[in-house]
Amino acid sequence: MREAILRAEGLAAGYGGAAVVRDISFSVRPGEILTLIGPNGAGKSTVLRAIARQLEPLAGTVYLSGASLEKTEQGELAKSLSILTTERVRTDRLSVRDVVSLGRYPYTGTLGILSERDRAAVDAAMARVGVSNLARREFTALSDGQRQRVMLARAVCQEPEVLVLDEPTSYLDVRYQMELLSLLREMAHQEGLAIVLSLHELTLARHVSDTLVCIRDGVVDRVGAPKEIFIDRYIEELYQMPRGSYAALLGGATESAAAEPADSSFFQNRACDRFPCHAGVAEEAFNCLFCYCPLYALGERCGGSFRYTETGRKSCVDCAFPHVRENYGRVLARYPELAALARRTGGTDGV
Amino acid sequence: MERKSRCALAFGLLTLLLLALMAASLAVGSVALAPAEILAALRGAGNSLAAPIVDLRARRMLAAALLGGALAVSGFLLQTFFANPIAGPFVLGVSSGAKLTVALTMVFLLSRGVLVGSAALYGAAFLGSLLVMGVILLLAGRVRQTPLLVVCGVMIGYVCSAATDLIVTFADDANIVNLRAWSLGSFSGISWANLRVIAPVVAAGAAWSFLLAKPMSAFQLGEAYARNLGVDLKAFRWKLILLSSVLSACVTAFAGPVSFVGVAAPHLMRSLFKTAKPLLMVPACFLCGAVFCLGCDLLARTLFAPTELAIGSVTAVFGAPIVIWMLLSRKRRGSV
Repeated sequence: MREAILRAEGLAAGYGGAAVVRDISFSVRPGEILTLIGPNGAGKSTVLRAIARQLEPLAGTVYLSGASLEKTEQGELAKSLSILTTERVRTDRLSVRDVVSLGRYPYTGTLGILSERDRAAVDAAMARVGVSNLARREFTALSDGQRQRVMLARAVCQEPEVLVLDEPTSYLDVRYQMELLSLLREMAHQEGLAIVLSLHELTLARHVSDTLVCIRDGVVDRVGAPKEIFIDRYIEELYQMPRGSYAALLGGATESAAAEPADSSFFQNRACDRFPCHAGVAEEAFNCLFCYCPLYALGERCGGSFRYTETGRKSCVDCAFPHVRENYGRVLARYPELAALARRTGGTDGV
Repeated sequence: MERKSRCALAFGLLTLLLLALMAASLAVGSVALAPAEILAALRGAGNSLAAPIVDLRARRMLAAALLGGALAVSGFLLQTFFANPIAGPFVLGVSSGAKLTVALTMVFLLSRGVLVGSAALYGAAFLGSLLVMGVILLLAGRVRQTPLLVVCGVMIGYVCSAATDLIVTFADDANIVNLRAWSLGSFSGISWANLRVIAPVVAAGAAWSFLLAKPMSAFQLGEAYARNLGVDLKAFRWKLILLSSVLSACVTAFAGPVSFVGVAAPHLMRSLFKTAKPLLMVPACFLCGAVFCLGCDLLARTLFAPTELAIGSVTAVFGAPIVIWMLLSRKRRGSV
């Protein structure tokens, strides 16, 4: 197992000398996604600010590649850690390209003029996050969701080893939330980026994270893999909700650790064996984020051919819903209707 | 239009305008001079009548160009600092603060029979600028919203102006003439000795501002991003404040209060270049401020010749509508 790249030890941080969070210890390895969850005001953003050196710690230390963050030179830190905050950019008349280009700041000279290599990195980052088509648009004229993606492209363009994201899915609609999280997984698992983020949406947190750190009243309440956190009544306890309310709301998303672990089929997953319906789709066309088939929930009425596994789950053989990008809009439009139908017919399996 | 060709065109236009206005400043006036006469006078030859006139106009032209550029750059620095396009040395009361300390120094020294030197005048203005800037920064710690801060700046400006008026009112008769002319603002009466202070200060200030273009661009994204990108925020803030004070104090010390250039010029340039990139904006603002002030000064001394208008009045007449246009267009674009 690889060494941790970022490690917080006994970290305390806050504002005006008063600690908001204390005794925070966790570590994240290259290729790992670590998500902070917890109620509003628990101190998630404060932890993120402290590990990104936006806030000087009141106690404890943050280590980046084994060296204390306080002793790391600012320019060096900029090359290894980049951030996405909830802060709004107020400057007018900056193009999307200008904003993304600022990610090259640690690499450029005195006047910040981009080299050929910098320009290529900017193009690559924009393509990666899917904002190339916005390059010449004015940043302040974009929608909140588009701005969020541009800021992520900026962070990626900085070519960091650690990415720190505060609520990256806020302002994003369901499609971009999934696209973003799918991208994060790809960057972590394939390129070895370490990602630390905070999330409000528990379903997303559960599916994207390798490790969850639960923050409650300014301290770490529990650390573990999603299947260790989403058990019994823990989530309700963490968020101080009435018993049974989370399960009722999400239709049984809280299951016991003994049950089958949450699968990654929620995201793009070429190796998905549960939904082999993708087999016939060309590699470049198959970019589907709706790998959970919207028709799957319809049980026998989905229209495709399938068989049942030993555990009684439906395993598709041939899907009636072609998984190509052009279908996203139709999927999204039909999803509520299909889900409602599925609930009525009792075929909630897998949704 | 491609950004590169737009920039080249815009810079070309500004340079042409600047050269044209510089030439006009030398040629136009109550005594009309032929180009040949001006050239001869500039070379130190020619007839004795033209030489002093050209000398007078050359000093005035250089002062207007340099100080106009300084004002515009100072405005751009303050706008970057406060992340608000309405900030400027005049709006925030920084110019008025400089005006007050300069008036105090003049009256105090003149009443003791000491002639105020350029350096002393500049020192006083710089101190005044820094004092008001200090008050604004203290307020900024308490008042988070910039619009409120701007209102505070305007109020501080009024207080300083009122105090200056008081000093002028109770000054000795002999000083009043000097003070009156100065407190209205004018590029006239600037000596070569003044220019020897103005030129290096403005040149150094503008060059340093240009070198700060990179951290400024990071700062435009906001504090957190700037820090993450490796900007030493504390040092950077100090540099911005010092530089904008250095530049605007220079104007107030030698030309008196000149309003609206600091806000209007950067806005015009952002619209012309269609970008807020500091690397382009610093030189563009300098050129635009120079053009703006040269034009206004030309109007101030020719419109109702031989009566001369206060430069502040002319810049306000042209600058204020630009600022209103800016506020309206920002509102339309949905960001205030």
